[in-house]
Amino acid sequence: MGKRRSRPIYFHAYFSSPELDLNDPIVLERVQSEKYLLALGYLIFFLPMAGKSEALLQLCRTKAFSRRCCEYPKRTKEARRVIDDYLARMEIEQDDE
Amino acid sequence: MVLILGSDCRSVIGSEKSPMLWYLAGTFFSKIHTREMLTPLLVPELKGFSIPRYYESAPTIQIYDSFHNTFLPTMLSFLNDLVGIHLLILWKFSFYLCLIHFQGSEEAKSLYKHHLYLSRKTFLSRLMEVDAYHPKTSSNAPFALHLALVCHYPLNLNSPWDHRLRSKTRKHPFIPLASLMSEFRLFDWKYPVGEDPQDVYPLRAGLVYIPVNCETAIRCRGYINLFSHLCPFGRLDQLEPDVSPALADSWRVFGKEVYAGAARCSFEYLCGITNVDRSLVSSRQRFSAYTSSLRRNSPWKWRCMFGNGGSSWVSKHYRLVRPLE
Repeated sequence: MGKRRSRPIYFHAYFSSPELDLNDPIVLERVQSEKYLLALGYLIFFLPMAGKSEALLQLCRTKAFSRRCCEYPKRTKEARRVIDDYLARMEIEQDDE
Repeated sequence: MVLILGSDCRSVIGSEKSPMLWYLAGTFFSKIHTREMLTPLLVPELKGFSIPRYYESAPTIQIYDSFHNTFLPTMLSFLNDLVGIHLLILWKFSFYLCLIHFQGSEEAKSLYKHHLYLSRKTFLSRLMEVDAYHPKTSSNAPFALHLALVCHYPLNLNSPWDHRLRSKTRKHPFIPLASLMSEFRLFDWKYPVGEDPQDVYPLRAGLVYIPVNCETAIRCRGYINLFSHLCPFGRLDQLEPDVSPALADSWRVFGKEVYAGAARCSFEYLCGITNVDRSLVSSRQRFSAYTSSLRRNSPWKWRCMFGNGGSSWVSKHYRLVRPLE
């Protein structure tokens, strides 16, 4: 048990461990939660470096995070800030053009 | 030119290099090229060296996907006639062996005579070697993967990301940084005694080593697969500053596009666009719905990822693969 607890939180997002029973709703929930957190991290990292993408802009303007984001309020807040920054940056670039 | 080599200086079947390549090509060239560009055109004159050639895909960048039993020496003799390599992707833990090949090869010297020589320190700062089958290093694979994804330089201790890694030594999931450092020492130990790495290892700028064991990466599910295929993109900034301005610019633009694609994928996941239908009961159904949704929303990417996966782990286990129409 101790070993399991010491595992990094993204462990199951990276590995398909034999001990991972995705039929177990608890395990599945944990894996999905880990993935969500990971995806939040990716968004926060990638978006500031992203160039112009209409699809991405459309997403940023029209879509909201799913309810799971409530599990990670700090990261969600940061992600939203990054999104706002991206939209502002794109507007400026568009004006420059 | 982008060249992808596999493990131990050769390519092995099913290591998921091609999906990564296709993703690369699809992302880079999606605006101007259709899927047909990915149809392999074999080069008959190269015995045992079947290369899908994507010459049409770009005026300046060619992508080569090495097939089974493609050995580096063979590759070198072929490459000798080419102008240069823009990006050499060494899949898995093959780098050291590749260097061995480079080391004594006149062809390699000739090939690399115009290329940059990296200092030992720079060299070490760019590379990680993680062998997921090795008992001492296997546990580092996911961390190496993450580092490759989020860091411009995997172990640039001046970067905020690494600072973050260091500052949370106890709790942060990526902390096996110390372990990674030990990997570097291990790598260091492998240098031939008495030889100056600057002479021995003529590395070209723009080289990207994928420090992840791909089987490990492939065992991730859903978007993690996609992210694993983004490994090289997260490190495009490795280009040396004195690379020709035109090339550097093209990579910078490329990087922005890729980052936008990665951000969009993340966003889609976070919005639930590609997420599981919660009304479904079993995980099998959930995953199936999840992937179906993903395919609907990003058919190109999924086909890039799994289009040829007859031997891929994903296809065996999830039967996601549908042949390209």
